[in-house]
Amino acid sequence: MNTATTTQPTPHDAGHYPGGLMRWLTTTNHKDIGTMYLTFSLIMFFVGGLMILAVRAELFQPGLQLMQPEFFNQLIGVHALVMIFAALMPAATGFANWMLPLMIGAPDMALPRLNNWGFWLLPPAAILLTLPFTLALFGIGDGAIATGWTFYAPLSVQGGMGVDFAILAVHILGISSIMGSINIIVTIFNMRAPGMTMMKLPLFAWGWLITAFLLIATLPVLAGAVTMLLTDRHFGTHFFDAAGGGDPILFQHLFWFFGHPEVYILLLPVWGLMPHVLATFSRKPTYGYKAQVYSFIAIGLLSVVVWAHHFFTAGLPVPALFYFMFSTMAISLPLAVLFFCWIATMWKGAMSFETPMLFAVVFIVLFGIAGLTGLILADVAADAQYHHSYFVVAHFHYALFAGGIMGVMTGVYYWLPKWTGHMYSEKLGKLHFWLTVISFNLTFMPQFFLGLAGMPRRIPDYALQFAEFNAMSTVGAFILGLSQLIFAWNIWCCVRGGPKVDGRVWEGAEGLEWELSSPPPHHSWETQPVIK
Amino acid sequence: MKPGNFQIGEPMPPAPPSANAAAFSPADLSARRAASRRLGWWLGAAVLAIYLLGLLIPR
Repeated sequence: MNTATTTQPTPHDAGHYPGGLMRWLTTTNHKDIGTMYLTFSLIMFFVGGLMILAVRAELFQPGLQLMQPEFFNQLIGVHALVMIFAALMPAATGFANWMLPLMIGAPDMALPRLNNWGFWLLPPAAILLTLPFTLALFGIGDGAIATGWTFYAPLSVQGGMGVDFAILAVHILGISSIMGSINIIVTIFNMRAPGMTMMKLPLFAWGWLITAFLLIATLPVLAGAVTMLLTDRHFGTHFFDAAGGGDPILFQHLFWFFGHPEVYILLLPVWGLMPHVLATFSRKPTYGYKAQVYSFIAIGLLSVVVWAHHFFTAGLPVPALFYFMFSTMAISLPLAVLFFCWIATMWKGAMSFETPMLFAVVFIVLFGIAGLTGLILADVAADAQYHHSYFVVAHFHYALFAGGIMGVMTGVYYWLPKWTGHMYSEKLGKLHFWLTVISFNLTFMPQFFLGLAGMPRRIPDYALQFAEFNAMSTVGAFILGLSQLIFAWNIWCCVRGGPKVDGRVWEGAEGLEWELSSPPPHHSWETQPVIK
Repeated sequence: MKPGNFQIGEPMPPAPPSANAAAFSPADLSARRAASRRLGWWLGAAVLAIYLLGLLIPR
């Protein structure tokens, strides 16, 4: 693992910041805020995970075992909202906060107070999201949002108080994400070290730059849609109410104008991270830097013009069906370029398989399955059969768990020694990896077959012929959930102590971030880095 | 890009044409932060404009 290190002088590390709780409440340091984002994300990952374990327990056998359908629907909806908005997005923002200034040679994020504010909006939003659901456990109120994460009208117009809580939470989460995005864009544009031109920017920064622009472009549309929903519910408007001259399909257009780019918002930071990990453990420069940058840009642009493939069955005009089918399939072209570059980076490399590399290699395989099954769903004729089935559930979990969450795990194992100054347990890391990969496939692979056999999603009970695959899926989900305790324990132990590491944690690691000590000094770059 | 093509510390080679030789001096940092604030406000205004665009949707 490790070779020489160059440490930065740290004249201002004399602890002139507040200690204890005040440090975390008032901090403007990008590393502290990154740590808070990542901790929050891990906590919410377990909260969202517990919800879906209850769902999987209910689905272990046909018939209603543990809960009523209304509560089942609430668990499904809040699980998705928590995992997307409170687990995966904050994890990516945590990575950006921690690593962008280190990678581009900046002393901190450009707007540090905005950064603090952006984070501290998250906990109240998470409380808003989960409070009605928690109160319902004690028989108070009519429970949380039960529409799924999509808020589809007219169900959401008629839903209970939980919809209002979720609308408010989504507004706050959106404001937080927009603040983070503005900060990331201006940091990348204005705070780069001298000599770091845009085409020398690390790919992780490129991935995040496109992500931030997508957030800026699409989150206001989601905010507008849910505001209109709120006025439909309480102020007598009829945007989405057919009886009043409105159009429920309009909501689907507005929601998915945000919702589809959101998939890439969750994935682009991971796609930016992967080339770094693959290059490090292949001990080669990344292959096709420019091709990857242009692919990121192409995917970002295409992602905002393909939204209607999420509701092919809603009765769109035929020319629109063809347009959205072909434009969706076009995304596979730049994505294929990325896959090619990732594989070519490993080609003839001196590869070693530490935990981050194991996750990165499996990411390519499993995310490949997500991509290929996505092509099936992009086909209008095939989608007519698979829409709203478990095939879709399996597809987007291969995309967002294998592609998103496993990507985050890759980043955590890759950068944790840099953040803490300690090496995590490789033995526990590999145990976590194998348990996660096996149980993930045990959970979600059967769901493809369930979907192909016709099992609809979002139902608490099902026909007898689906029983075996559902039982397998539930066993897999519980192993998957329990194996994440190993992940949390490994992180905890690494934060608390462990073998010391140098600045360049991994032998093959290259980039500005590895020139700093591990952990980096409180003020990251006091002496300007020089880029050749 | 060769992502690892960086070096730290002295002696510093001549700054590339795009670089600011006085980087990370307090004056330079405050200039960069002022530019960031300006761009941040513009981006925020763009967000607000997209949000308000919804009001123009015919119904």
